[in-house]
Amino acid sequence: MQLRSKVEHAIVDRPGVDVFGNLPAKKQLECICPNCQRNLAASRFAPHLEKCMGMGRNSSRIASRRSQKVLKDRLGPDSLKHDSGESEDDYNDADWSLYPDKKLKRLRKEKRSNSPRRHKNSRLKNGSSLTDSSLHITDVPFKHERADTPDSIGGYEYMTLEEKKTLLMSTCGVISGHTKKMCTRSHKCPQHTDEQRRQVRQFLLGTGIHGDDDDNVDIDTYVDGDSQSLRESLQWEAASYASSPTDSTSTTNGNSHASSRKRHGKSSKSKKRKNGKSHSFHTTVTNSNSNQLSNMYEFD
Amino acid sequence: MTLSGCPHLKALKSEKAVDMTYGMINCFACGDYVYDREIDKIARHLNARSASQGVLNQFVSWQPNHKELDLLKKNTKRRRVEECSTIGLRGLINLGNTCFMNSIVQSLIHTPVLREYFLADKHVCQIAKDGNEQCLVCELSRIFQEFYSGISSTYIPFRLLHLVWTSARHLAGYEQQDAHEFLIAALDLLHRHCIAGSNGRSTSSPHNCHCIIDQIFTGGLQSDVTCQQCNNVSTTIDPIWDISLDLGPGLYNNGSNPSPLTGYSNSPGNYDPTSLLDCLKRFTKPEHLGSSAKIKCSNCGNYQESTKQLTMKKLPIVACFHLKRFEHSTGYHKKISTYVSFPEELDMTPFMSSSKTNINGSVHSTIGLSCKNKYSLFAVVNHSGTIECGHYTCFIRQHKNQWFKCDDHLITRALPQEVLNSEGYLLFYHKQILEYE
Repeated sequence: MQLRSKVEHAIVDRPGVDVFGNLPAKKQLECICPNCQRNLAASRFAPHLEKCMGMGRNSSRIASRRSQKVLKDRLGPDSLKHDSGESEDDYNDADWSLYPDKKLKRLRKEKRSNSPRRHKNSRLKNGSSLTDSSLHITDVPFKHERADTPDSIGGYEYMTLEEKKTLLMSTCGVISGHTKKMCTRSHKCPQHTDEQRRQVRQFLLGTGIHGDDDDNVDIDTYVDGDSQSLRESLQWEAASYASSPTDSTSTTNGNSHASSRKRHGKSSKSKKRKNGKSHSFHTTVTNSNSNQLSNMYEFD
Repeated sequence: MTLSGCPHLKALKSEKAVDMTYGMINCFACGDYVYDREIDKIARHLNARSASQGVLNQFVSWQPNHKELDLLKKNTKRRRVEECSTIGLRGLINLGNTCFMNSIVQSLIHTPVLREYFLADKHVCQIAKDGNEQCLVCELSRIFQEFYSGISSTYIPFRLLHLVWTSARHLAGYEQQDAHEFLIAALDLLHRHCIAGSNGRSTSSPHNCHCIIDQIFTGGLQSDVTCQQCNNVSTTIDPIWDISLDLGPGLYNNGSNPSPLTGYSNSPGNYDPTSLLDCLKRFTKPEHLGSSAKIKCSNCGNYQESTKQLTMKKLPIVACFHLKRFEHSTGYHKKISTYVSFPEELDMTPFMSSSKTNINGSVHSTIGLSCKNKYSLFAVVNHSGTIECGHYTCFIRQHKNQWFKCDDHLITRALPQEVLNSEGYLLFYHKQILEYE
């Protein structure tokens, strides 16, 4: 039996093949998305998941168009006041291909330059603190076309019950505390919890609700993860261990200079990343907050 | 050892001996150690009794409980991990720019103490939701099982990716990311999931958390700030999971000129570190904080110039060195690709807090007499390409000295020299000798 196991799992040392004896061919593996349960190619899983979880650049556009389409279909073309600038969106949008060739060309072009997020670096240099988030909105050049299609719908006070029902049936619907607008992402929108969705439905469709419930409905700017890191950062500050291992990666030369440089560096480091994230607990708090804001305005 | 029962055991005349360390019987007539259930029971009992008296840190060998005995009987297949076996090796498919994650996963899977922890099934999940679906530690445990299953097909870590993205939003997004950042975030997540749900959260600080992540990776970095006026030293110790080392020319000269806050000073060429040891020497060198960075001294109460020195107070079981190859200064980004040599064996003694000399002298490299500060390299994560677009691969060590290169799904054998000649971005070392607390 020992001999058999030797043959079964012996390392292969031939040139041109890997340790298992396989040729280095490109793998055509598949997996199932845990979010939408769809079967897809493993090497395309990450970009798919990004859209599926509502994080991609285009996701909010898709979501807002989805909800606007739904409303339009159900309630007629006059129900919405703003223009969606649809043709422009379709051209840019990878998912809705009215012009499939153009889409492919553009995708390929983006892939070749290998920097779909090139503009991000310049944005990240502005830092990621809460106060800078207002800068972000005007800073990025391609955003203005999105100004017409926010990822949220306001004026729910003026909607009929029918309109509200329609929206809530196809979108997340949670009302943001900042903008007082409803979220137009899908029901699986990761930014809001099912409890929030339940509450907003009760609020909008249920029986006699007071104005105070606005506070109940929206827990938008504060996410579980935040409370954890907030709590911990406060606790550990109180305990006079002002840092955690994620916080105190060693600085070398210089102290205040290096740390400010590092934070700067953390924002715009190496690979393209999302909003500047340092891994300190203290800045994690502000970063998460700006994440919330940024998710709302969808300029990632 | 004769298991079938020794016929001489009960006979009074035959010669037998008892081994005083383990309580084993050696029968001279059989010419072998023999096993008797009753005697074994007595030996174990006496062993346990002496341990409880605090005489020694006793190693208690594993005894299967009823459930485990049952499992052993029902599952008769046994796997022996030979030196020439692929068990423990497995490719990871790239899910779309996820080579940074693959490299870190490979490094963790081949971290010795961590591997023992998971293969010994030590994780008890604290997160009881959806049947452990959300616990990252459970997911990692599953991955260990997959790597040691003997299956050679490429593993698809899509569940891991999804879990990480849902647990750490700042990491989520399809784009090229930094392996070091992912490592720190992953360790942080694992640490939180380890202690989640228990009372550990409120009582444990990073310094005395007992989760496996902290036990393995947490070291203590000591920072001493000396007031130039009164020589009072203010000391803080920060928990760290890695040591980030600057490359490139030094920012500060040897104390003479105050350097500009941005850009590089014109330091002599020989100040560029070309080895890990150079980096560590610079890291632990006392530095004069300029007149623009005066600190209020708690002793004499004045704002004074001061000197600061970093040293290692407590060494972790696994030390991760991060060579800061991605440079951001005065608004431009580039990658520092200069070759930095690193050794297979590393002695951290000169960089310990206990080794530091006075602030005016440099740290002498003492030949380590104690072997408790000696480390062995076991994983190297490399980045090839530019700051905008690149690819991560890693080298990992199996068994004593077998190195393998992990390039996403492609696992091939590597020579030690190939590993040592590689550029090096993240260097993983583990202690050669583990001590009891």
